[in-house]
Amino acid sequence: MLLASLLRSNRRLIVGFFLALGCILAQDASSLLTPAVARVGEKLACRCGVCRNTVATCPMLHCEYTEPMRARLKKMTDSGMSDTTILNTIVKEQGVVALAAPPATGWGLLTWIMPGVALVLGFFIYSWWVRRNKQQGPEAVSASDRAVLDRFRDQIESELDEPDEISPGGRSKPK
Amino acid sequence: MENLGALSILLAFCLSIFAAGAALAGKYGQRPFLVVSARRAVYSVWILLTIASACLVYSLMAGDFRLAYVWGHSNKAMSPLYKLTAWWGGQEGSLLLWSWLLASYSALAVWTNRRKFRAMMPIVIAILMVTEAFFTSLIVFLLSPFRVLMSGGGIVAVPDGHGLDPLLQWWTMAAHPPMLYLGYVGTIVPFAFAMGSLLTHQPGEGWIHTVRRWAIVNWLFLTIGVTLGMAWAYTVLSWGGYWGWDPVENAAVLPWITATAFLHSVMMQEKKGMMKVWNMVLVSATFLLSILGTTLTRTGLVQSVHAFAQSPIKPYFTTFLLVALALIAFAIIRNLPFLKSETKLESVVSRESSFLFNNVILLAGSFGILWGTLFPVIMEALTNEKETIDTPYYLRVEIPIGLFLLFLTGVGPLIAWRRSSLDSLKRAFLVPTIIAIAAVAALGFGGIHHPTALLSFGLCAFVIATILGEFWKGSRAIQTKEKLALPHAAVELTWRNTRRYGGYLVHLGIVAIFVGFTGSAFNLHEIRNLGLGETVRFGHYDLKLASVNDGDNANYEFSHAAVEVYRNGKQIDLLEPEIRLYKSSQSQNTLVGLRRGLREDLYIVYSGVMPDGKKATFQMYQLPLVSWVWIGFFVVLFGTIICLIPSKVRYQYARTEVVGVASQPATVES
Repeated sequence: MLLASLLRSNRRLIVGFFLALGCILAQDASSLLTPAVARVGEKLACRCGVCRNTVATCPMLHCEYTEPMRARLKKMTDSGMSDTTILNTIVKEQGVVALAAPPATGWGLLTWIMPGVALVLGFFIYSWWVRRNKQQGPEAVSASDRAVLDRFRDQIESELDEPDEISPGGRSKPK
Repeated sequence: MENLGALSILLAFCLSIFAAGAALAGKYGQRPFLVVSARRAVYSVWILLTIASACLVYSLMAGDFRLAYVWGHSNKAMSPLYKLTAWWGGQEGSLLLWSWLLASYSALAVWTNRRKFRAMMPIVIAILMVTEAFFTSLIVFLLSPFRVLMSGGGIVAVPDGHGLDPLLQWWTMAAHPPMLYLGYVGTIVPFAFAMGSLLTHQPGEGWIHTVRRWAIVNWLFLTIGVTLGMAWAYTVLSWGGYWGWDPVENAAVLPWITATAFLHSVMMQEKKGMMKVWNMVLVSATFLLSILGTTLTRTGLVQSVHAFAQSPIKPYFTTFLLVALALIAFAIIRNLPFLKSETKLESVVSRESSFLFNNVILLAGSFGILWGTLFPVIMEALTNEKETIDTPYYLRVEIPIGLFLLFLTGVGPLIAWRRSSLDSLKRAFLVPTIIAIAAVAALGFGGIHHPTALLSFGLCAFVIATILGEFWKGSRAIQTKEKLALPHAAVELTWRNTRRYGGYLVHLGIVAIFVGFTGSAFNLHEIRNLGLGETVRFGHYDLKLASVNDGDNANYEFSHAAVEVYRNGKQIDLLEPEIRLYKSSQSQNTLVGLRRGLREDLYIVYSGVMPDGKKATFQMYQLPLVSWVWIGFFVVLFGTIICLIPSKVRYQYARTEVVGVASQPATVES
């Protein structure tokens, strides 16, 4: 209750506190994103619960997750740890939830293959539908006859491309 | 007031159950009076839910803080617009809005078809009213918007409310949820008609003409809803973007994609009597994805900044979804013979074939998003381990699919109905391909070397060339024949076949949106500290901090910065980013300083004055081509409205071959 009444009576103080905090963090954030941090951070999810960015791309100034993580990544990269070692360390602590996308191993492999499976299944449905609905082709014709046929087909297509117009009386207008 | 509202919802729930039962009993028991009674019950449900909604809106406007909902989502300082917005700002109110919109759609669908589809309408009524009963049951038994604040057995009135979330106090967010709901809820009507036609074996495709307009209007609402959400995220969330691949955002776009696929493939059924099973699956998928979207937003099933808090309705939504899925699958499988194609495909290289191909790719894109959204939930259930799927996954999966779809958008108009010969394809592809290659070469020479961006711009040029080519050919023919000026001939052409040319305009809008998306490959972002009167160079601009001021009003306190924007030494703009602290909720929000342009947006977020009081911190973004996303949206809007305008002439689509059920040629009144 005391805290609540203090908060109510010191709104300007609170605004000032948040703004100052933002600025301090902003200063740090801009200097922390070195190329090495960006490279590793690209593989790590920002887990602030608000955005869906990575530690490398999160643009939030007050981000409570990304900024300490960038500081930590900077320390780790400065100490000469490899990218894989850093990622393994963080995954060991937090689990695979720390990664921006699951690894392509174990169950995580499903993440990556299922869209491809869907696409292949779609192509299968498409080719099945085409085969099922395709008319029997005409008897084999010579190349010269085929050229004549194609020419006439093109002409027919260009004429049939637009549907027949219906006059107000309901009868088709002759082309 | 609360008693009237609660009683209205309860009666609406009872009547919707009655309407569904009476419609089915009337149809299968051969008692037409029951069907008439069911129809009247549908109108009554709408009246009752309108009364309930009016009660809630009145309570919000009057500041009746005895009601927990009013107390939780409004306060005295809010403007009338945001008091109205509070109707859908919370779980209970938004469920009431959902129910009211469904009742409105149901009443409209039943009223406009009261003399048509006599065999089918009872099924349509039953489907609409079962869904209505489900939603009203939630606000009757679990989450009533008319719950009063109790203390020691008495009703308590508190002097002021908690207020609406500041992030929702924006005009885009005032309009975004109703638009999205109009789209979500509206998908039920085409679905109900499709199921009605399936279960009653409607002859011909008459029901499709009714459903097509509903589907276009729903698609339009979904488009507006999604775009308003993007516009809100762009200007309010202050992170320099408009799409974050959040589960709730994904949930909004999923039914949009399947509805897009349906709008394309339904033409095949209308013109050729083909792809009937596919259309049934698409219209059902769109309905189910709308319910899934609602489930994700309302139940806390997935972690999202947009979702409502955890609530007790998750098992009910999940059950409804699973039961609906099972019933739909059963109905389609049981009636497969009725869905047999009436015509045969003449060639793989034909527009018919390309329609299915485009549908397959659309659905693959949709599945990629659905999978990314639900995979963490599935994995947690299976392995008890949390997984994260963020933006990198979606970009890797969706960019290739999106670009391929863009390519197909250009290819579609170049392929003739029934069959295309190699020669005609060569002729059709030649000019657009040359234009695309020329565009890529010009951009490459102009200094753009990002491969994906170049591919995207090239495809955009290809699609624009094909669409403008279609307008050019048609307009020239009319110009020659009827001696009209070319612009007049283009208008005449569009009016003669509004669906076709309106559709092309929609495609042009989509291309513009892709141009906007592609611009994100060149975003710039920096965090800079500026002293009063100090100038910094950022991108193409010089930015000078002119002033910083603090102040307050009844609703919030603010800190406001004025930044002068210079280019080539000349001042071109004054941007005024701001930070607000809302008094009742003690939550902070930012107003972006935004200079829009066709080439790029300059986007500045003010983060406050530094502790030494000498400098202020700003996040600066240079975001190329973003305006094309919004321009594209307006072109899509215009094209869709053109599609809804009746054509000057009526069209008859001749079927080349009819097998199985004899049917009349489809006559379309556009």
